[in-house]
Amino acid sequence: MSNIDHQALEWLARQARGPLAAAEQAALDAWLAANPRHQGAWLRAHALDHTLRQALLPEAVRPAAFAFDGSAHAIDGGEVASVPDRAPATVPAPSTDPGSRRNARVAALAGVAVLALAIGIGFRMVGSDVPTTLPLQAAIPALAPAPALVLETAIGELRKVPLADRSLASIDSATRLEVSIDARQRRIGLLKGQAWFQVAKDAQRPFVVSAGAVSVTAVGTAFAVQRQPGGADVVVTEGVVEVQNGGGQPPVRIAAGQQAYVAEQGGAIAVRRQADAATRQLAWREGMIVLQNDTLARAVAQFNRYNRRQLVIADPALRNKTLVGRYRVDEAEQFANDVQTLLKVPVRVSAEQIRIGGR
Amino acid sequence: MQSTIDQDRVAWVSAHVIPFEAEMRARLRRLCRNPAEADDLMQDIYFRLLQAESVEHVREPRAFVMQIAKNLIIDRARRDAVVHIDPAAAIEHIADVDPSPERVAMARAELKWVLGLIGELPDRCRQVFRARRIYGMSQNETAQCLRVTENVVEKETMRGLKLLSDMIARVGVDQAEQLQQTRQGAAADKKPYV
Repeated sequence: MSNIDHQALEWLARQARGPLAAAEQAALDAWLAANPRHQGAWLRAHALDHTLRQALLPEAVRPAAFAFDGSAHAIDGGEVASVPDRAPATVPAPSTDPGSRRNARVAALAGVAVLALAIGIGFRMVGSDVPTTLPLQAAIPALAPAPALVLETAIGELRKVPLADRSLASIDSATRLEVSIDARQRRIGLLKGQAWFQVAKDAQRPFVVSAGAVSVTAVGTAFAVQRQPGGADVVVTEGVVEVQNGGGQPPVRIAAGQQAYVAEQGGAIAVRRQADAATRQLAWREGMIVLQNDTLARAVAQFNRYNRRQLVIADPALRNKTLVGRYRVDEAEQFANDVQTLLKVPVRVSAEQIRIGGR
Repeated sequence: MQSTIDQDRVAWVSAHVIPFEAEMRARLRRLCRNPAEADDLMQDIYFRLLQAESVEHVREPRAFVMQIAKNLIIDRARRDAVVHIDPAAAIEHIADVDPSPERVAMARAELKWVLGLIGELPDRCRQVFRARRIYGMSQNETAQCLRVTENVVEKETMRGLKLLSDMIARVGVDQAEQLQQTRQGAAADKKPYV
């Protein structure tokens, strides 16, 4: 490996720290102009950075990723040491026991949250071009109801945020959450969008997610809530939740592998069991869209949640064509190209939109 | 030369060249007199990729890149007026590569591969890297979390990036599986349970 590659990486790092001063910019330009190989290395450095960002975006939004490097350390091994030690004889091999892995993971997460709190910092949005910090004031346990912590994502942004109670929220694109966690309660308001929660067990403080008049209550479980016009979709991946709407009926239980659309005002809650569908609907947590005989209209709506450049179906006759496929959420153009090939329809790409069908 | 590069070009190189760079370098080394020459050639290839009018039409990126290599080697041989007997035959086949694996499977392998490389970083380097790039913490936040100075964070971030850059030159995406296994073995040795 050559020194030139390392120089290019240094320039890239310097640029990432903020706009270059005029003199620095001139030095960079001179370096690039000095040798075509410098320019080649400059492209390589950008591509390397891009590759890392692509690989780490899903890592940053997927809870299970903490176990990925085998050591289950979030940041520092020191935090994991706070998990009560278990006798080696009673613990099965690490890779076959999801429970023990999860403990380590939760501890690792808690480590991050606690450290973050101790030094009063905010978390930066991952994968966003303009980093924004958010205060973690709601993480402070208090007797008075804590002020809500607002967590927001822009279009195309996915975030994974450890909460003060060691629960974890994976927040989908274009979502707004208000989190109030204190000594007595754990309340989350889903104002728009979608989020998946892995809830830390705490029988004293039920974990309640409200989406308008719909409320979903959990003790220790994992589930997702997505706002829909007039109600919310609830998908449960672990344990059981209780769902209630504004109609005054008794709550309905939804268990792992089940899902339901809950209307805000009254109406029976129909629980469907579709284990595959549940996993598939939550593919967004890995930054993926999985289509399994979904209609083009539905697929387009999914891509449009993540991309500013919107997909538009110009020919209504295409809306109900069904498709199978697996894409990264930012691969709308690739998706449109596949549609073009598959359905033999014209696709027109412009800066603002990608039109499928029509003339 | 502008210091800003077209993002589509960056994305294309990231998807089609970076994962196969180690494989390409290995091929180039067989055609060059020494490793440094192969490194130079690889940089020349990146320069050509930067200069190329468009790459979106390329159907077989690896073959395309090897074709660039072939042209560069021939140009150089003409310029130097030196004929290398050995590579002459090999050059004929340099652009013959197997078709790329299916796209979706590739994306998954790439993820594993890059995460595997990060796992290979020395401890502190990896901690800093994960804090900065996965948790999106600032330099200052990372420094406080890891109880080190900001200067250390900055140095370790740069060191991690350079180490990853060197690893990408040596270990390609097709070796992701192998890497994963080696690492799991190593992790099991260090930590029998958790």
